[in-house]
Amino acid sequence: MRVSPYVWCGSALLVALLLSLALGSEPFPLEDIGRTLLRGLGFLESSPETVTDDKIFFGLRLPGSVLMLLVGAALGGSGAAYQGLLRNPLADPYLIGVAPGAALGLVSAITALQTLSPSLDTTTLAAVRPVASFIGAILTVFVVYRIARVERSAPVTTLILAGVAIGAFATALTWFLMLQTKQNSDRIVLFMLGGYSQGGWPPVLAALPYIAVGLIILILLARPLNVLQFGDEQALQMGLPVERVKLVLILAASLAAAASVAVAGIIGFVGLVVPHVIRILWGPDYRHLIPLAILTGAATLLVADTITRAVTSVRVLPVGIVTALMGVPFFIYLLRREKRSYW
Amino acid sequence: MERGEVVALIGPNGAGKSTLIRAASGRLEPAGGTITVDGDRVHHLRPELVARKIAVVPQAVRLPEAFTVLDTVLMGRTAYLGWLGRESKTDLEIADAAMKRVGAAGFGPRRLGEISSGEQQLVLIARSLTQTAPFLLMDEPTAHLDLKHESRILDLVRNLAHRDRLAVLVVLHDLNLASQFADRVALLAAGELRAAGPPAEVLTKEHLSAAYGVPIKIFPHPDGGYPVIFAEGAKE
Repeated sequence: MRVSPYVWCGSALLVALLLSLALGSEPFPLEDIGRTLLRGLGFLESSPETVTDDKIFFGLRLPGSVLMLLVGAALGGSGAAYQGLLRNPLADPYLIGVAPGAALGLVSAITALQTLSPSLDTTTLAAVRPVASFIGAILTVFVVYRIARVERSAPVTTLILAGVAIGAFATALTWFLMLQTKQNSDRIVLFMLGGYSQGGWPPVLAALPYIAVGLIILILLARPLNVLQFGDEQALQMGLPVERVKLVLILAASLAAAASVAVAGIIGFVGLVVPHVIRILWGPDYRHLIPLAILTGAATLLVADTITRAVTSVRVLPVGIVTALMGVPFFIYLLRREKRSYW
Repeated sequence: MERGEVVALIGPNGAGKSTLIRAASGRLEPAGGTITVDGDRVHHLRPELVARKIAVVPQAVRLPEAFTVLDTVLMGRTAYLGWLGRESKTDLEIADAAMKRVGAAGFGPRRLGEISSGEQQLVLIARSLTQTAPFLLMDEPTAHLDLKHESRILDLVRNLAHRDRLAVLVVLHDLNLASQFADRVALLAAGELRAAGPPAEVLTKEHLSAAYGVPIKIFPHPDGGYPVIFAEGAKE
């Protein structure tokens, strides 16, 4: 019997979520997770000895897992959309400068705010982060597009070249700003290589609306994205308002990607490889590719984060390092196995 | 152009044949003059309205190989579905009928990368038919195809014009194919129209040698009497 890809990816996400909730410095066995959740919902009475557990679970473990789920979903979905938009298998939030631009927007906004009013509370900062990232990402996309533009459209090769160049420029500026302000070096490494410091619910709530809106638009526009795979000219001749559709898709994908950078730094690899894995296994139809990449991106990042937390020998281990170490071998295996053109 | 006829667009490289196709599909703005379809200027219409009137079969291109034939053919319905539409049963029936019409029935589940370039061309024609547009523009539909696929596709093109009453404009590089298959021929050179009319009137020594800049020899075909054209001097 053929099992639906949604069942595979959905189960993978569920298992990854349970693992992520269960494992950590304070392990929660599965039955404890169930009981803790019931207590949280008010179905079970809490007792003095469960209070600390509940605090750890609801204040740290659960929001941490939900954050990784959201960020992984954003990276998987937006990566698939960028690859489709640029019709290039190398595309991901890095390649057209979105992630570096988001990072620069975020770091400059935070630096400016902390210089102007050093007493700003963390909730306001958490709310500012996704907005600043999105503005940085969109400005970068705009600059990249203007540089790459030839007459009325931007050819993919020049778009990518401009994106790589501007991305490198933005990354250099970001490093400069971060080192200039003499921040805690652990935090800098975590941000630039992807990761989060336990922040509870504020980052989750700050990122959720942006990621949700961006991903819903991408899911709804999957059919036009399919049509774009035949090239701008053919898409136009089939009646698609190409430039407007592309603009909306870029905005939606950048919204999700920028929000993920805002709360978890620059996590590489998930946005690049997850969509390819889905494509190799189940084909290029974006109507399925986008939702499946969202589910699988979430599962992948949850697993990577769980491993990251389990490795205690390193003081700070950015989750981005784990995503690369874990996924690249798997990706190479799939790539070598698949002889047929899957793109 | 009239419905029910095949017009061949011929001319040397760089004459502006593909540019004309692009302008006629609303992709480029004409530098002078206007292109109208049923009284509306093409360049001023929204893309979905143009696509419902004019379908384009592109020049041999690299297609996204992993897409299936059925999904590809269904994309011709984009002009009717809008941004958020989903294909209905009617759309599926239109796609099935189009595949049958071009002789590609049963290709549906195959991937574009698994069929030959001649079959890919048939699929693109089927896709353009699902646009249910009265005007069909084709840019070199027989480029790189063998004789069998070439005549199969040009027979289909004639049939679409004469039986299905479409107006078909087809860019052809091969003058003899234009002579053999077109009802009318339009000769472009250096961006302007040099001659237009029945093949026998346009495909003359004078017109062709002036346009192409080589001496031309013309014989009547022994069966149909239509002109057969050679460039002179190849073996001398």
